[in-house]
Amino acid sequence: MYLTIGNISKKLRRQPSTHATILVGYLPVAKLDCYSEATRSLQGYRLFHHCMYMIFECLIKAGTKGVEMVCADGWIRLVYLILAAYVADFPEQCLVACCMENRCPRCTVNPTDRGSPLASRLRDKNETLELLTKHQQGKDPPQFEKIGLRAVYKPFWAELPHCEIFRCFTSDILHQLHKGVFKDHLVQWCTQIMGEKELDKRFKAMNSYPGLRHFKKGISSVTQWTGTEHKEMEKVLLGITIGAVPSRFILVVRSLLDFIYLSQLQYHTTTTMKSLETCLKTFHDHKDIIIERNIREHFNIPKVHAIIHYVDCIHSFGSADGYNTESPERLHIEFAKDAYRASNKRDYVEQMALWLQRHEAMWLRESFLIWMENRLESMIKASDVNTMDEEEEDHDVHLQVVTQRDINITHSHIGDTRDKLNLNVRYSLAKSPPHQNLMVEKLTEKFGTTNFLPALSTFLRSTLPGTMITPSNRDRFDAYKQVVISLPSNQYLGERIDMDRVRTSPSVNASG
Amino acid sequence: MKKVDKLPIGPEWKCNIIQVTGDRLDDDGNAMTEQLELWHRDPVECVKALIGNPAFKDFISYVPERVYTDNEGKVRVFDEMWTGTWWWDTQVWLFKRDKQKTDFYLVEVTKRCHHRPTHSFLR
Repeated sequence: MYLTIGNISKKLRRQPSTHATILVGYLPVAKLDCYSEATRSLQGYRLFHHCMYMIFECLIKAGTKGVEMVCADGWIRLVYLILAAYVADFPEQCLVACCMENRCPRCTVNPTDRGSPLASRLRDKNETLELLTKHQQGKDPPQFEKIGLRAVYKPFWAELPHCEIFRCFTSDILHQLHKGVFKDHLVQWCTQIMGEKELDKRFKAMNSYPGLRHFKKGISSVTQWTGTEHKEMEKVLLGITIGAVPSRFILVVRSLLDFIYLSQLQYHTTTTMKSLETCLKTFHDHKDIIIERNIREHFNIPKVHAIIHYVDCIHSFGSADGYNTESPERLHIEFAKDAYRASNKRDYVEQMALWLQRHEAMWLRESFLIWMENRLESMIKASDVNTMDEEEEDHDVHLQVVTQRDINITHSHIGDTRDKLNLNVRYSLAKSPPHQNLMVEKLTEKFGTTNFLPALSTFLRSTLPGTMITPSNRDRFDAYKQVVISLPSNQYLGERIDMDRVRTSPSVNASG
Repeated sequence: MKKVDKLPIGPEWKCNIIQVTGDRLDDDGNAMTEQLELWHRDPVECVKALIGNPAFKDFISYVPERVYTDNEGKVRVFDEMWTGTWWWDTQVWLFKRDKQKTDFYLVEVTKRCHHRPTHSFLR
């Protein structure tokens, strides 16, 4: 069981090395042999809620009265601890929500209506608690069955202040979209419409292209479906279905793929959320083609239902990368697997806790030392302002040299275009062009550049108005194989810097 | 190891023993039981450790925000937890409830405008 706080930027929370997520407890794995088989699972659910209650009982007071805490910036704030989001897989969500697994942990949708695009009434904490109490008293209210509750009478969240537990469940892109909607359903539908052979054949026939995985043997033989495989297939699936399936089915494929991509944005706006809703609507408008083709009889699929809650979730808690299940799974390797390996495998939980405590102590000391070092440095700097200024100047000059040199290398043959260039866009080329002194015909032959001269003239005219250079058949050209451009940062995709590699190699026909 | 154990530690671990009494009977006719160990730490202490860690100083927000891409507030941004509606609504609820006790800085409202380029390509 892990814990983190929403105050910390999602960028830090994602990286296990920053220790922005803390392990709060190891839940016991009980055999529960002391119960007969009929009651065992229900008792297991109750035990889970009991353990969770023991861990989180103190949040009742901390959420109602607040706790004074020293914050990272040195201020003391009165902090109210409120459970906001619960990241879990589907069975655990049902366990926490005390509902059957053929229901939705967020809303009271009827199990037969899960294919419908209409939103059902959300589950309500007070209503649920009331029903549970009535059931415990033997009154057996009909609503209890109707919304599919399990007889767990003391859910751990009952007394947590301002915690509407059913709204805490977050979307789970890895399991619901990549593994669920995409692999278990969309790919299946495609296979059934096109036939396994045709689908494989089309995967094989894809051109190999830098940045795309080429599935040499098709996809029916893929046994290890990791997150990467899903993402690679998502890139090409739409192209593969064109022409082999009815056009309305292509709309289904496209809307679902768009939904998958859009939901992964790390920066959402009102506009991108509208697009998400549109994708969902397109899917529901055209999904009957799948029934028409006798591929499915209904859409009572938990994962197809789950995606109608995505927009709501992003609205409440920000973009989905802040709470995806991939990061806790990564933490699990360190906190559970590594810790277990370090133990002697008997009474291991205690040893694991000690192991973790020691690791944390070392990490705390390390970050303390770094903090001290920074303080010392800034103290030294403050006492010696002159030196610092000089250093900075040096630095600036150096930077300028670098930028100028870059430009000279890449554009020396065109002349002085420095003013036109956006200095933020950087690119790099090989030191010397691998192909030198090529005639235009040679270029066409080697790279398939049929419209080279007209295109070059247009480019020159638009980049350098008033230029006297007119390229002709007699000119010779140097050619590079590739240019790497660093893209301007894109807030939808987070803060990493992307490099775009533009290659000049013409497409080669695939062997398949 | 001894030196490591002398270092200041994070939140302490506690162990609770849970005794489960089942509905099956053993050979002597007594209800069977199972003992479980629940190892856990105080979540309040955990949050203290997180919020007070100077390493996170530049990456922490203490107030909810409504962020827009335009000056009129038509296009709202949702990325970090504090830009979502949950935090805002919860803060307002807290303020209304504890008007006397809470200082005003808790519901400090910021409306920032970001002017960022928009790109729509995906990879």
